[in-house]
Amino acid sequence: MASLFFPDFFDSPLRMRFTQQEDDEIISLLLRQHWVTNVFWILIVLLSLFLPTAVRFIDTILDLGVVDRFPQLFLGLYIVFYLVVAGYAIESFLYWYFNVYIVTNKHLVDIRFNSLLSHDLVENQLDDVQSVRASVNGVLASFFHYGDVVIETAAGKDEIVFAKVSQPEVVADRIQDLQEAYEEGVLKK
Amino acid sequence: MFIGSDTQTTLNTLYIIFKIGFTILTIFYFIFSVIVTRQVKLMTEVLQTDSRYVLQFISWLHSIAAIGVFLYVALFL
Repeated sequence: MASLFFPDFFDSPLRMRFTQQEDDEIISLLLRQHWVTNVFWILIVLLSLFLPTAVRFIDTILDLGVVDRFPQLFLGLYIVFYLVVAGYAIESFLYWYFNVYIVTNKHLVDIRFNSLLSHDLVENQLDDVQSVRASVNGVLASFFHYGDVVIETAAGKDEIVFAKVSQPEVVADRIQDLQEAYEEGVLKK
Repeated sequence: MFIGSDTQTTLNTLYIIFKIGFTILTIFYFIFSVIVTRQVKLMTEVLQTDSRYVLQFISWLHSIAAIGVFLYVALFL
């Protein structure tokens, strides 16, 4: 159910493209961080929704009557508060939605949505890949089966990390298979 | 409860100050919503999926809602 609203694992998606995709390039995997990584900000947002009610409740219990004495002021405060909560929820969702890892038959692509004002796209050739390993750390990661896929590339280049993705072993296997196929293809040429 | 005229004047002044503050904050929120709309448009061009138009539509609705909140605060609060 959660992955219906927060889809995080696409195997061979047909109707998806990215800007630098070549004509003969096929997307094998499209990944986002596991949906459970959204739970923290969703909980914060849900709890925040009840804060004005809590203020009203405390005001009534302590018989202060402040909310009734300054209704316009509190209405304004509630509006601003809810705008801040909405802004936080939108920013958190967009950060999750647009941070995408793509594995194609030619490249590993990391689309990074750093903030509302900056994003970048990093592309690595499959033949730069030296080794791939999957790691699952922590109770939550073990329970929901997500983890990091760490890809070591040719000397001089940084490690690529697909962080907190679903089924990390499947992803690591797929990258290795595609890399072998890519190298075989290059050798045949 | 009887409120003296000085106290009433102070409260009215405070109310106006708060209203100006709230209005400015809603303007900032509208600017934020425009940035969100722009960024969603850019990102849905970088990553083209089936849901791109839905996201763009929601971001536009969000901007319209931000204008609505601004107008409400400026005119009716």
